[in-house]
Amino acid sequence: MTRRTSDHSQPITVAISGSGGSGALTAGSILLAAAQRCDRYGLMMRAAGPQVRGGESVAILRIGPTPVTNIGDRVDLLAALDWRNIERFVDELPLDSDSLILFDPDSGPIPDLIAASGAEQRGVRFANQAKAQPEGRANMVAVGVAGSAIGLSLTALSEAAGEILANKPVETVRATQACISAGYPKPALAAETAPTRPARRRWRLSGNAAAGLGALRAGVDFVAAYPITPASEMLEWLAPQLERIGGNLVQAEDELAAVSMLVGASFGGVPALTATSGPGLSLMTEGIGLAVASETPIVVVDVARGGPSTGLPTKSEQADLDQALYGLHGEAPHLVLAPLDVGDCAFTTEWASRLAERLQTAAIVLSDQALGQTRAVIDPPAAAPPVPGRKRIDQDRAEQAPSTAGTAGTAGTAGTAGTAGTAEESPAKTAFARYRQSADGISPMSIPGEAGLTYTADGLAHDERGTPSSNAAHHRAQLAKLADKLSGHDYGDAWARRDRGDDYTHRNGSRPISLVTWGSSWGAVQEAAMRLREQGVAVQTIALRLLAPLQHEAMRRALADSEVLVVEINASGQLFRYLHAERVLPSAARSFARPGPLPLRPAEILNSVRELFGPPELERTEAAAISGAGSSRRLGGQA
Amino acid sequence: MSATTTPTLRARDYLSDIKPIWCPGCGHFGVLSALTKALAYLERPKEDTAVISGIGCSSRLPAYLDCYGFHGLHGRALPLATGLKVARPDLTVIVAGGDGDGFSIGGNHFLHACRRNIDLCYIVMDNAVYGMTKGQASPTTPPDWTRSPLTPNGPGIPVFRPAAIALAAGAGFIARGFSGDPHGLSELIARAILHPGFAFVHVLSPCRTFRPDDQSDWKQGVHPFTDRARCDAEAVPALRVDDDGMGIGVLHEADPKAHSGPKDTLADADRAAAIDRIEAELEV
Amino acid sequence: MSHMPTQPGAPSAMTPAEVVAQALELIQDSVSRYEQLQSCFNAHNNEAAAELFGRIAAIGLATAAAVARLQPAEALPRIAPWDFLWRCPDVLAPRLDQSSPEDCHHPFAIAELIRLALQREHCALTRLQDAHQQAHIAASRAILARIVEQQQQQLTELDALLAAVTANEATPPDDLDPPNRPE
Repeated sequence: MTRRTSDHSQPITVAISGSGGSGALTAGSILLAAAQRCDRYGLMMRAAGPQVRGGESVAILRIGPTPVTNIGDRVDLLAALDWRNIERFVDELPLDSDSLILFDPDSGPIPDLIAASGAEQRGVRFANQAKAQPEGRANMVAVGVAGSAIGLSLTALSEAAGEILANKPVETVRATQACISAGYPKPALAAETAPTRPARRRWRLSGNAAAGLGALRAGVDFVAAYPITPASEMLEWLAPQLERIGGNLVQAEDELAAVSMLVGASFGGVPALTATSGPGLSLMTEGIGLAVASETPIVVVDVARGGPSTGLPTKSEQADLDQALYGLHGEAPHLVLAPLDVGDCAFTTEWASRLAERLQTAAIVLSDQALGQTRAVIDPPAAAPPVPGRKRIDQDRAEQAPSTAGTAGTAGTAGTAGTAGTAEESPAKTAFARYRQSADGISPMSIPGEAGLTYTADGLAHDERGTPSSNAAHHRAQLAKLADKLSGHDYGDAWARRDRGDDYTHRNGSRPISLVTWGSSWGAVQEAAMRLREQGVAVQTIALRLLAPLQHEAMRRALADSEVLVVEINASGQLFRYLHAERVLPSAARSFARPGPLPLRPAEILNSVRELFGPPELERTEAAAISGAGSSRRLGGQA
Repeated sequence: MSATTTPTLRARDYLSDIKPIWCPGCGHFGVLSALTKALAYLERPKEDTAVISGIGCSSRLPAYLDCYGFHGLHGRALPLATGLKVARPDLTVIVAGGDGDGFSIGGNHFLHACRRNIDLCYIVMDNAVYGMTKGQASPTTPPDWTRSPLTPNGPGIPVFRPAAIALAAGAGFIARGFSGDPHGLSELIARAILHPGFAFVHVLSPCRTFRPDDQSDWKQGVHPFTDRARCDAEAVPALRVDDDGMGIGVLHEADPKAHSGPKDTLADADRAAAIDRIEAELEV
Repeated sequence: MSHMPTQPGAPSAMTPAEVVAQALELIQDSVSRYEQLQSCFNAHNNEAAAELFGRIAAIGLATAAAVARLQPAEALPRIAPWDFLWRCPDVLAPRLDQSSPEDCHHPFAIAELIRLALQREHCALTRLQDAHQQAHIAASRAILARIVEQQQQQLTELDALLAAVTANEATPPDDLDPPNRPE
């Protein structure tokens, strides 16, 4: 046991690194699965190059007794299987003098880049110990060593290995378990062998899987998509699950086709969703506009990566917000949402799909690589708030009945109109007002198969029946309807995740601080807020889940009389600019924005708060206590 | 699809009360007639029929029918229809468009729709010109056609050969018709609708406004297609070399049994139970 | 392929019901075409032409109604569209064949349009007369004779329309809806 890792009341960050193919990611997966069995929470980020094989890989896990929302400021323990390509991800391994490095002396000396951290170094002959086992592998010895160091039981590690390697030959699993045991210090403490089942329901999944689950919960039965990193795993997770529930997944020839397939399926009455990343979102924007104009619900999950262009396919950035908000041509009001953590990918995707169905529009869900490819052990995510389904003809008629008794059959839900000159001979033609105005801006929507309600959906400007029209009044009426139905909907409290702590008040004459953020930055922001509160700073967090339509009044009320810092991972402050343009920020609001791909760390926000606002409470604490990497401060807020 | 529950519909009953914007003499009127005749003969209920199109003169067609329809994006009619048919295999899904929509901006989707073999009837009204944008060269415009100011020296590239390319891409049913003979064309469309799998009907449909100079003789130029292509890849070069592009009839029909029908979907209760099982697997 | 028709029998052996079904398809197909042209000329601002085709369609509908009365509707067989025997050229086809490349075809003179409709209806008459001469079944011959009479009456009405054409209507109007060629 080390001084850093023996305290299991605080989160611990462990990294396992190696060249591609060394099994660092598999080792990480086993550790995470073991943590789930030991009643812990945790998350695992991975860093890898874009190559198919080889290159570099590192699994970074943060394990703790309470929900883990972000990767933290530093690495407590690095288990390095070898040092090849270490320079490529040294930036992602913030080591310091309190860190411990376990390295294989047989793979050469510790590179200067790593040694410069001042971390304690301890040689462990991973490869040599593995050789003692038939089919033994060094990464599994490291699982034993690291798992022990962070307090995971040998039984849990062994079971976890069996689960992660379930489709390998039984001999491989046995060899793996032997290697883990070999790396685990003897004798194992009794307390560390006992629990192998969590006391409470706890899930282990990636953000991509969670988003897929949210889609299923919402009733999505059709997915069409084109493979793209880092969204493909969401599709690969969905494909077999859709088969189980009787849905369909079509691998399209490109993103142009994928989004059009969604529109077709949804027109047919089947909730539809796709997942893509920035380049694919660019190709889909015309189709998203069609969904908006034709009022056909679709959901596009953008698992964002670094950009522009092909950019950083395997790494994260929150840089697609501008495109999601403004990327459609013409004026096409639509929904933009962002999940806030791995579990929230399920909640937000489900909510987005339900909202899209109700509001007959397109929803863009801005996940990112940092959420999508992070695997986490979490409490099961809540279901999204209930939203009524599509407005079908029955509901529309019920709404119409009381108010339009005198004008029945005019603006009409469904009606028929004779055709001049042939009325005697022909059955009347359908004259269903598919795009009729209504009090809530939501028109009745029929689906094919319903007799007497036929209509032609159209991306051309149209009148209430969908007939193409370039008439100015028709254009204005339909545009207003598209906007009103979104702005008029009651989104309840789910538009943001807000936390004011226990004591959000003015202190010493200074105003409290509002940390405003969105998407995957929430985790680091909320931890920063916790630490600020521990130091006496009054702070609230507001993490926007619903980015469009913006909840202006609720935002203004929430931000009233506070210092505002808007936190996000992109170079230009896209959320900051958006909120300013929408006039919800006080003029003195400040921005913390930096590009990816490195994950946001709480200390960055603490530093920013101190520099920008210098709250007196913070001034009185030791500056070094919040400086993050290089400080003596440990994770979890204890000085 | 029973004639006992719905009164027998005639061709004109499939027309909506929206009047076409096509020019007098436009070939697309003949396609509209042929399609309504085929639907009436096949007794397809209007509400179980969906006509999907892209953008262009011919893509205006769905609005003129009293069926479900979608007038979507330029070039994307096939994927939209694919999504609809996969999600709703109970529907008769017809796709309509023009040569620019289908062979140029939508060319990739054409190839993959042929491969994917979803049960669609795809009618391309080929007038070898972009009409809606006022007379530019299309993929089927001859290389020496110089009447567009956009390509004053002619497009200068060989024409797209829809039938040969469809055959090469694996389409199971390929026919060519002429809009000047709606009765004959209706047979090709009816057979395409009945064909289980992707069926492509290439219709020579003259543009009277922008191509009157060289399409007036189409009526005399069309002739029955006699050299039925074989069902193998070797037929592709033959179709490409020997076909004069004016042969009318079914050019190729693969064994309908090659198409696997849609799968069953689960009832809602089963769906909820399946999701519960999926969620349970996320625990240890 | 349950909906695919069997090959029709020889035209000369048609039953009375088959004769009426074929004749109705002939007349109704023409009416549909006239209605298409009516709305089409309407859309292209040639209202005189649109009105003309409305009148021609009405004449055709009257003929169809008269023919339909020759047999009870429930007795009529379903004729697949492609088994229709008496096909005639499209109304606009002759004119369009003669049009020059520079010719935009909205500015039809009323008199010319009536002549085009007459060409189609004369073709129809020829088809009906041929069928009458070839019919082997006496009852079919009798019905065809009455249909030929109806068709001749229709031609008479079209001739009357032509005779009433004023001098103004004998020449094409200006192009009321030229294509929006880029300048």
